[in-house]
Amino acid sequence: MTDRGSAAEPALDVAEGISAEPITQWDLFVTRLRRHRLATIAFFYISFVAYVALMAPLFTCEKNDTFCGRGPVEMSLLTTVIMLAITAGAIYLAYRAFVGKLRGAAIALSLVGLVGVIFLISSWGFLDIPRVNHYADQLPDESGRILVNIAPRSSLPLGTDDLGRDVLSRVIHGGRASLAVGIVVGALVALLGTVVGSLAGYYPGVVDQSLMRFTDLVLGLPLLPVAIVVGRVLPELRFLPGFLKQGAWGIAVLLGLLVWGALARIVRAEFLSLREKEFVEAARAAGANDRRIIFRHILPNALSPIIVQTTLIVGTAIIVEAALSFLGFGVRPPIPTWGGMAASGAAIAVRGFWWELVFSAGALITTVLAINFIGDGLRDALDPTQTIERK
Amino acid sequence: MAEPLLNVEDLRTYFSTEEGVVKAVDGVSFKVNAGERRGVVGESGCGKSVTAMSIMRLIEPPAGEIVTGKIEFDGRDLLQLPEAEMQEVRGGEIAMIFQDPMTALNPVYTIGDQLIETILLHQDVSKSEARQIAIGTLADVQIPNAAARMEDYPHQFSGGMRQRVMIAMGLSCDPKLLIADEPTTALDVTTQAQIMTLMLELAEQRNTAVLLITHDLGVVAGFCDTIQVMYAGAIVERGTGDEIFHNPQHPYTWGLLGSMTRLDETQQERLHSVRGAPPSLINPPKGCRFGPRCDFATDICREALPILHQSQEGQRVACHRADELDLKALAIGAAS
Amino acid sequence: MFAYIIRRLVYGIVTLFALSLVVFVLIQFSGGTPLDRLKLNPRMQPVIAQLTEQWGLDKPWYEQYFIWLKNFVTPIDVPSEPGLTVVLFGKLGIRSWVAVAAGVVAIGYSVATFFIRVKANWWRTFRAFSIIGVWVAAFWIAKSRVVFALNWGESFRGDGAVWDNVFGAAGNTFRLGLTALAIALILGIPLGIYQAIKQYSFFDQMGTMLSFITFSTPIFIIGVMLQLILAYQLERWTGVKVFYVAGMTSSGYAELERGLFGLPSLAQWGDVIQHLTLPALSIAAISMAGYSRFQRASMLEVMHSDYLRTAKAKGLPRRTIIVKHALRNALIPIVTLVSLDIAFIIGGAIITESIFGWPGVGRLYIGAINAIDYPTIMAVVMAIGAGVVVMNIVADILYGVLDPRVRYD
Ligand SMILES: Nc1ncnc2c1ncn2[C@@H]1O[C@H](COP(=O)(O)OP(=O)(O)O)[C@@H](O)[C@H]1O
Ligand code: SF4
Ligand SMILES: [Mg+2]
Repeated sequence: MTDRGSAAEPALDVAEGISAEPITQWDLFVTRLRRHRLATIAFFYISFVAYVALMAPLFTCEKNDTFCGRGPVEMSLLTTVIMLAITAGAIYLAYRAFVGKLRGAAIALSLVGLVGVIFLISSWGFLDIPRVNHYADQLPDESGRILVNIAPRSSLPLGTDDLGRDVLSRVIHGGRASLAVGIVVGALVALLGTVVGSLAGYYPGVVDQSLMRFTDLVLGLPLLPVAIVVGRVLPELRFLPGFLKQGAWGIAVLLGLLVWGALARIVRAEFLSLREKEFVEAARAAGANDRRIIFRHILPNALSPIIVQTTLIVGTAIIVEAALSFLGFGVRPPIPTWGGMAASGAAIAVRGFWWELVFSAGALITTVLAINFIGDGLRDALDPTQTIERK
Repeated sequence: MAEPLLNVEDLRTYFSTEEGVVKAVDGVSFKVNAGERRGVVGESGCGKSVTAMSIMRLIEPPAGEIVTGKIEFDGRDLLQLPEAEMQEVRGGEIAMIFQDPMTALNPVYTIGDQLIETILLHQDVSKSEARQIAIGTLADVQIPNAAARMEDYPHQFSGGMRQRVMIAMGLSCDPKLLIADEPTTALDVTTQAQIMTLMLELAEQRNTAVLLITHDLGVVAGFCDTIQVMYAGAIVERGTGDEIFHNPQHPYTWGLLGSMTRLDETQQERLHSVRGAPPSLINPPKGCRFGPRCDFATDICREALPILHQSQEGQRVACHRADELDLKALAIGAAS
Repeated sequence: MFAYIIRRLVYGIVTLFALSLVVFVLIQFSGGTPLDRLKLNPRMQPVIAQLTEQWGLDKPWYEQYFIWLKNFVTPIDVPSEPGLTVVLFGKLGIRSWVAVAAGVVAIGYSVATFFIRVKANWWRTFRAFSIIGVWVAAFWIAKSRVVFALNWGESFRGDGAVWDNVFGAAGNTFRLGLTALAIALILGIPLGIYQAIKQYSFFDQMGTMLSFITFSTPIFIIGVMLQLILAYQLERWTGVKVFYVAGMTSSGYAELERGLFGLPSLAQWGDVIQHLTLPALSIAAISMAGYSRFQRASMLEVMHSDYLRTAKAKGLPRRTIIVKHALRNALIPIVTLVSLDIAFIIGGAIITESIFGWPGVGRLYIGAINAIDYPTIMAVVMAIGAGVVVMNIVADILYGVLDPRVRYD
């Protein structure tokens, strides 16, 4: 329009210049995220929970001790080395993130990926981690009696449950189910939601119509009733490999397959608006092909809603897994989960043995709360327009 | 001369933000007489809207606060009025029109509802009389078929039509002052001129003073009696339309003139423009705030803040070198 | 508008097909046949033969599916002798009357105004809500099983007709769910609005923090905690049984004195409330947190909108600005949220009902799942799915009526 009317535009140009520089944008993002103090605390808390759950055998107690002796149980050299390596890597990354020198989301993502892979391998039984099932051991005292419903004390910080098992060990191991759900659902949702949403948003017409009808279909399935049916029949599905039937993995995959619809819709809407933008037109005019336009020009700009939405869905999925386990259709005993422990804890809490319920519920609530705080912080950090008040 | 209608003295409005205190309006004083048409010009972000919002006392605490100042309107200091009396003034004696007509009307009520609401609020009339007045003003702003369109919702109107509705709403209670904050910025060029003419004609018929805010000198050209130029929260030059357009004294005004588009000229020539971007209002530069962008800055400019004073040419200007510079000659020189 | 609703209904039916297929196939994977449990009981032998015959249990799964589907949509004869009026007056009592009257008024009104263009806002709103009246009436007529019923078969657990079980349980779930919804709305929305008006105040920050925590808490933990604190501990401290933790009424409920017109008496109401409070609260808590957060956000958006600035510049008093200009706009989005929340409430009800022994759809479902009682599983899943579809449509229509900008294409 008029000449002076474009006075605001140089500022915009500057902003676009920034977005072309991944490093600067990342620094900006880290700065904003750190200003969200709750999200920062939540981030460290989640890292802590994930680390403890992953390293569960390091912290759980040994059966053969007369009383519960805590410490690393007998593990192979390989396992020990891997665990120490992860610990060192995690500490280093946490330090880099804290001083704000973390370069690129790639490092963070690769860490998450690494943890996921190791976790998967360990659960599959290639490493000896899962065979150290101390969460299922019943603790005897000197005379060989099982210590049932022992209140928290210095040697048993969280007490024992009605079968005489160490609640601390079980809470730590219970985190593995939630962690599995977090990783798998996060990955599946981000993948399916992004792929379906971007294809639908980028290719109007038949592709869009059919993909969105399919998405509507998935969104139309009532989550909990369907999840309950699947949870009920999962252990009986003969063609599934064992690790999908017993642990949290099967549940996690199931939840991931059920909850990506909302993200797909958001990504599609984002693509629909971005594909009309000038910079996409310019790229197209410059001869960029579809793949380049999608991956180089549109997707990076649609990343914020993808990240935020995925984080929030992960929180919901962890709750649903816990609910399934609570109802008895999730991970089966004796493998501990926070939901399952809450169920058995609730039964004995009536008699005054509150600790199993309180500690498992506390772990669950704080974890989900932390994830939601992170989601909130990410939203603020990635989309500053939402928090700036406009006159 | 009689008492001015509006007398703003040393107005300072600050916003506290995470980055620091934004001194959006920092010591602004001016007077507007009854029936006068005053233009307020300056780049985006120089505090024009905040000045207007301060007059209406619409600055939202806790972020924004009118720190000091006096706003005398019709003999009363608006800043001292209790809220209930201020409500009478808003809409009744001072009306305001905003930049974006697409979002300025409540989407869930009909145009008629919103017009009648204003009239009932400030005039002692019955509902059906209010309706008649509303239809009358809608017809005044040249909305065809006014009676029927009363029942329509804002989304059924075009941008220009909505701005006409806003003008009708503003003028329906015969205010003494109409503040129009960038009323045509969001409209296309042909509509701009129509709306501007219409608004000023109606204001003149009703003897309503107009404070016309715009970032575009081209818009005020020919429409305003007097013009004040704002820069970084302060007024840097004030004079009649002739003085400002044909004999600018402040380098900033001169720069704005060089880069303006004119509605009334077909050929536009870019003579010179203002380089750089407006300064931070949190830490404004020492001395003259325009200094870093000024082609004529000298040592004194970097030391002392120039204050608004009467220049030899007649208008008021805030520049240390106003009297020695001959910007008019420069402009002609650059053109040839 | 009409075409739009029809289209949505068609999509909804396709979704329901997919849902039934998915669940049916999954059930087939469970080990053994559903009849295994019945086989243990010698007296059930004839029943087993009959069920195998009826559901084609010896046939491949896809044939079973079509048998189920055919049965599921086949109407069955309903006893015609009592006649509609007798049933309405006699068997079902005053509540059916109210429901049917609401339906008749709603339908009549919709038909009548189809030809007249109505402008007044509250009138339009009423029409929108009359849709809900239609569904309420339909529910009661179906439940009464006198005008219409489908062949949903007998439960594999030997506890009667699935149709009656599902509708009976659905009525109980509605009692729980609607109470929870009412509590969540009455507390959550004003909370969110007040927070937005007092943005950044201590109250606002506390409210945000609290709803964050509640929102992150699984419903079963809330339910269990309420039981422990408000039922067991409260009774321990006061010596009075204030709230019950299981069931809908006490066993002596029927013996309590009845009120006028066959409606419950005060004592009976009290008993119902003692049973209803805790499960309803645990569902309401989470919805409430969601509503107040959502309402706060949408109210803040409106408070910073240009048209609210216009309203202030007009000189309207703050009260009018908030009540007339802000609320009306800020309440529109939550209508959709609430309508869609019905799915969440049913989901929440599954968990809450099993904690509180509430004889609703959720408990019926859990029981059926454990026994692989597939006619019941399928019926419940379809009922929930249909509820979601219907509420989606209701949400869209309500939105369109409340927001004049919306057009259906
Ligand atoms: N609510 C607010 N919070 C913080 N800063 C504000 C607010 N409103 C305006 N400002 C700042 O005040 C300055 C003047 O703004 P404004 O008066 O709107 O400029 P314009 O002259 O374009 O109308 C700008 O720098 C803007 O950033
Ligand atoms: S005071 Fe100096 S710097 Fe400021 S406008 Fe005048 S000449 Fe330029
Ligand atoms: Mg402005």
